[in-house]
Amino acid sequence: MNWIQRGTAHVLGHDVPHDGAVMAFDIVLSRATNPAELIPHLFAELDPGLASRIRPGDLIVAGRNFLAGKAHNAGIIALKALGLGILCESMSVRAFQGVVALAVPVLASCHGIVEALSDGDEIEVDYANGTVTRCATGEILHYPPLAPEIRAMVGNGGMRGALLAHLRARPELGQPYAE
Amino acid sequence: MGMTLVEKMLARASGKTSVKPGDIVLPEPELVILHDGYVESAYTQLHDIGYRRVTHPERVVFVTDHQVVYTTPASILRGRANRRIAREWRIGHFHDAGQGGHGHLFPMESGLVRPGMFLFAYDMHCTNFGAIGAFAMRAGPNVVSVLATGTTWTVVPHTLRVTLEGEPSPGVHPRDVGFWLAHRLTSGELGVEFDYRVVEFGGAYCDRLPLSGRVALCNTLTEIGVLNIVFPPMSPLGSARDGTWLESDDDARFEHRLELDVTHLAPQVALPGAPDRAVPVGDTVGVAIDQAYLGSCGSGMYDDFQAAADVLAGHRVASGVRFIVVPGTVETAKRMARDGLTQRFLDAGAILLPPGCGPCAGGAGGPLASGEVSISTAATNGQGRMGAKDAHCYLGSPLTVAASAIAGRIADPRPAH
Repeated sequence: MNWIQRGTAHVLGHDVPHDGAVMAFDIVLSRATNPAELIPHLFAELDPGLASRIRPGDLIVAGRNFLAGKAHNAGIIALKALGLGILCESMSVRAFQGVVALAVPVLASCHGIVEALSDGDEIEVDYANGTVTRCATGEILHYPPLAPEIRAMVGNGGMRGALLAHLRARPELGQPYAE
Repeated sequence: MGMTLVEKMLARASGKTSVKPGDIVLPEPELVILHDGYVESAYTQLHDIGYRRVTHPERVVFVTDHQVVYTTPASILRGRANRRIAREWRIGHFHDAGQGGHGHLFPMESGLVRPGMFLFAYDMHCTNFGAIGAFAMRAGPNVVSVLATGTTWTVVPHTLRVTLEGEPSPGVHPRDVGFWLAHRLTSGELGVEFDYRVVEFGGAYCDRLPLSGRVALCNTLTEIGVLNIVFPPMSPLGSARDGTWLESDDDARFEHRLELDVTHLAPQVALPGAPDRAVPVGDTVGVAIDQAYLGSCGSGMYDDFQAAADVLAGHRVASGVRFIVVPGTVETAKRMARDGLTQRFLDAGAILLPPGCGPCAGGAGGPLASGEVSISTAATNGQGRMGAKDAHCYLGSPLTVAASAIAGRIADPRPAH
């Protein structure tokens, strides 16, 4: 996996919840998991115009406690399908586990990034080294990098990737018991 | 530097001599518990990518508590699928409908979950097992990974030490202490972080609590987002501590230590929305109710029903009120029958449902209509939790719920009221 990503920063505020902001709660309750169904609703309740400004590969920049509230993942499925990355000041462990399970690249301890970047900035992120470069000025911001063990999980395709790898290593788990 | 009880349990389960908050670990559980509502989903996810077995079927526990009585065609098919999956995967501990009861209660009674044990469970209210000093971690959808590989990654949490002193007046129950403490934590007045923290309880009040009281505290704090709640190890049978059980070191790294006095606490009622929306019962006294419900993983033990039956004291349920009583486990239901408690509830006009979650699991067996009002001992009271989205779900202790059932409106259970 390429740990360098270049795209437009879409800067959100602090305490953006999953339910009711990243994804509407009634869509969450519908248990939809198909990205094609979820993508049209991404961020619709936070900023109805945001989805139209997002290009595949862009970066979502958020403040403290991104993906607040219940650890649902419908919105993360849509983020993954669009190839987006996440840079935030903090997120709960449960939210972080959901992001890693879906193999979305993330820097989750970017203190002060909401003030440091402006909405629409072109940036380049290096997840392995924890740097964010403003392409217009060349200014480099430094944050804690993605830990190697987490990077390995994201790089291997999150939970699904790990389960497929485990099955390759333990092929007997693919064999039903004899009746 | 010493370790907390939870750090010791996570270190042991992860094959390490020590861990500290923030460490990423892969703990190996002694058990993995899934309830009847998620078995088929987990199976489908694994089957779709080629799995035909799970890694340690002998450690896997399927419990049936959400839909004990099939009330829809879909629930009949779900029960059938769960039985087939348990057979196909050779699940070690399959508790079908009518066997065991509530999966957050009966494993403590039966000895399946023991003090000091580390386990994973799908459902967040597995925190109940902290009552006997076990550490059950909610895996949520990652339980699929635990089934397939035997573990899932997790982060070692900070621990908050909460010491409770004093003795509240008669009529004040550990659920009240839980609602009150949940409110004080989420309102910010205690000035401590609680998200993903473990709350470790101690102090004279906690030392006196029976297992049901410990369960009440564990259960009530869970919904606010703490990771877990633990008490020093206790045998469910109340026997003396075994010297091999783990406890926090004297120099353990607690993120904060809180000392609180419960002496002057009044019974609490949680307003509709969430268990931490607690107010003194006096603020809600007189609100007319349509339904009262006693049970759930928070208040489903024998003591809870005994205390509620004592409040009934021969009175009948108010006209127009449905009073639903759900023993947590089959053992509790049997004991209630043996000791005459069942008779007392039926004499009062209560409706008894089979052991399990009862209406707390989406209204199963006791849903609310639009605009109706209920007071219950449910684990939570979010909008639509027990039927119609615009029903009003208040929470109270078993004592408050029983007093309200006979009054037909929210009532203060204290003797002088």
